[in-house]
Amino acid sequence: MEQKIIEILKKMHPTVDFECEEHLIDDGILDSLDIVTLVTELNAAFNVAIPAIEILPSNFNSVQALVEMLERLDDV
Amino acid sequence: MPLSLLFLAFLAVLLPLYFLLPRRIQWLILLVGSIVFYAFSGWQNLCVLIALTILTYTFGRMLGRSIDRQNDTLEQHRADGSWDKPTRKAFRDRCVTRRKWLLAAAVAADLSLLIFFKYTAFFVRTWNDLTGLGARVPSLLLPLGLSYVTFSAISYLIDVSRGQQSCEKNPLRFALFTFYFPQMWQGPINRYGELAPTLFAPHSFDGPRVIRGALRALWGGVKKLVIADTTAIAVTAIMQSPADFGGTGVILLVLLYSVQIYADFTGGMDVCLGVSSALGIDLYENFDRPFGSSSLAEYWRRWHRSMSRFFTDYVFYPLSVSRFSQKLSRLSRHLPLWIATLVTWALTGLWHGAGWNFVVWGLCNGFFMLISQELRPLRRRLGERFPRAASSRYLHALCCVGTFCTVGLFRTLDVYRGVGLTFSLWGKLFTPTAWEGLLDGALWSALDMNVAQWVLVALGVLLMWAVSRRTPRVGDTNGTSLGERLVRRPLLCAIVCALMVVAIVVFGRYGLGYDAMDFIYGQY
Repeated sequence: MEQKIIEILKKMHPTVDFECEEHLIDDGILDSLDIVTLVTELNAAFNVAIPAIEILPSNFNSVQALVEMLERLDDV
Repeated sequence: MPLSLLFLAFLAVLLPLYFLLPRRIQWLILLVGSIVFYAFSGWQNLCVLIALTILTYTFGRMLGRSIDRQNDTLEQHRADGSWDKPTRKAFRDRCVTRRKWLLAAAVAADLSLLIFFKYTAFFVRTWNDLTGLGARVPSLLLPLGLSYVTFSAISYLIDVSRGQQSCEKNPLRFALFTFYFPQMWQGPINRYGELAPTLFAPHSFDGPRVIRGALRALWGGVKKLVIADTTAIAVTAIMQSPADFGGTGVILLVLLYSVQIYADFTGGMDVCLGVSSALGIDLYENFDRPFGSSSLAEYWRRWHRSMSRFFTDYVFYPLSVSRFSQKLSRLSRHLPLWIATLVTWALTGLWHGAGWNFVVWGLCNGFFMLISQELRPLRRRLGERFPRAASSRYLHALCCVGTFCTVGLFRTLDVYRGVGLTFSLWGKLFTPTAWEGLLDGALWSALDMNVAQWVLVALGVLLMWAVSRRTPRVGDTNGTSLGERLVRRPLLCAIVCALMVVAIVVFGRYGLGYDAMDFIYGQY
């Protein structure tokens, strides 16, 4: 899952080191337009539906946070 | 009212009561004070705000109860293992759907008040234009602060329905959230979760904090009464005879209206935030050096931040990740982004004013940002090819100037009001006469400003720039604000205070006929 997310992110920002970056939103690396593109790509890649309620900086700040969010969405 | 003697008298009564009476009832004093303050704007307005408060509180309780019931049931069935995962998921989805309908009813109820007072005349005018009928256009006055308070109330309802915020059970505490007086003129659009902890916390008297608040409020007064209102003379002259000024008027407006609206809006916010800070209550910072932005998207993250945040979180994201948008994304990955951006910006425009010029203004912003977004791969390739130029300070400065001009140009729609008129005047920018007009002495004298007033505006701009440079960016916890530095030097602080008071008294534009609604953003 992690590698797939990094692959999607790299397509959007090839120069960013997503393995290490932990403040993607706080540092302004991903803006709101990036997030929409990312959500669309993640929904298609992992067959999930990320709701607007999950679009919080804490869920998008790092690849690890994205993985945790996707795993949580699958859990009730 | 924020810059009137009546308001000073109101503060002179409120502040001693607030700090001298027991701290556990401070918030009640604030509530009574806020209601009294609001009652000055008219009892009809008071009734509207009470209705909004009751509606939001009631719906908030219903949404909160729905969340509690859902969580309790899920917890119970998870513990005894009587429901498997798909059953739990189906139950949760049913609860979420029911809550969505309840939230829709709640938001519609809140918005109905705003729509009635703000948009009825607009709808009737549009109806008349479309049908050729001459239905009477009602003249309804928008209750003070209703645009801002309604949006704060909606943000509370959405946060409660999402489970991000627990509902407020005490109706009086909730009433303070909607009635809190400093937010009434120009916002900010508050979030309950951010405001409540500081709003209901006990605050002891903190001299330096009160002085810092007073300094900020005074500086806001200078910006509004001296700089903004002096610049408004020239802006009004252009607005009243757009044809006489032609394309030159557009160039002048890009500069002058930017100065006016910046001084006006940030000045008003400084008064609100300064007064609130003196009470010990920190409101959301609405500005973060917006004119230092190198792109339009960045500008909107730094100008009127509470409004941008509202539309991004509650309109743009829900629209762009909705099931419908995701279906559209099968046609093109860009489609949800385009639709969500344009709808969000059309609504942002409509929030700014009940007129087609505002809708077009919003769409111009949306289109420009989308084009900029689509050009990003090209910019990236150019950056890779010319890395030195891409990271150059000069290019950054050029981008900042370009952003300033773009924002200023779009804002002329706000001044000219007519969409056709504005577009025809934009067209004249490409004629030599528009630029030659800048050297025409007769045109400058038609702006109705004397040399002293031009000097005043120029000094004001320099001063605003200098103060802004010395104000830490939002989120910079290491920086020291000018207010903090001044408080440490009492003599200098007293001199600065005295100078600001003198500037307001001597150069400020006030007196009969002036009221809080004259704030540009107070009308939105």
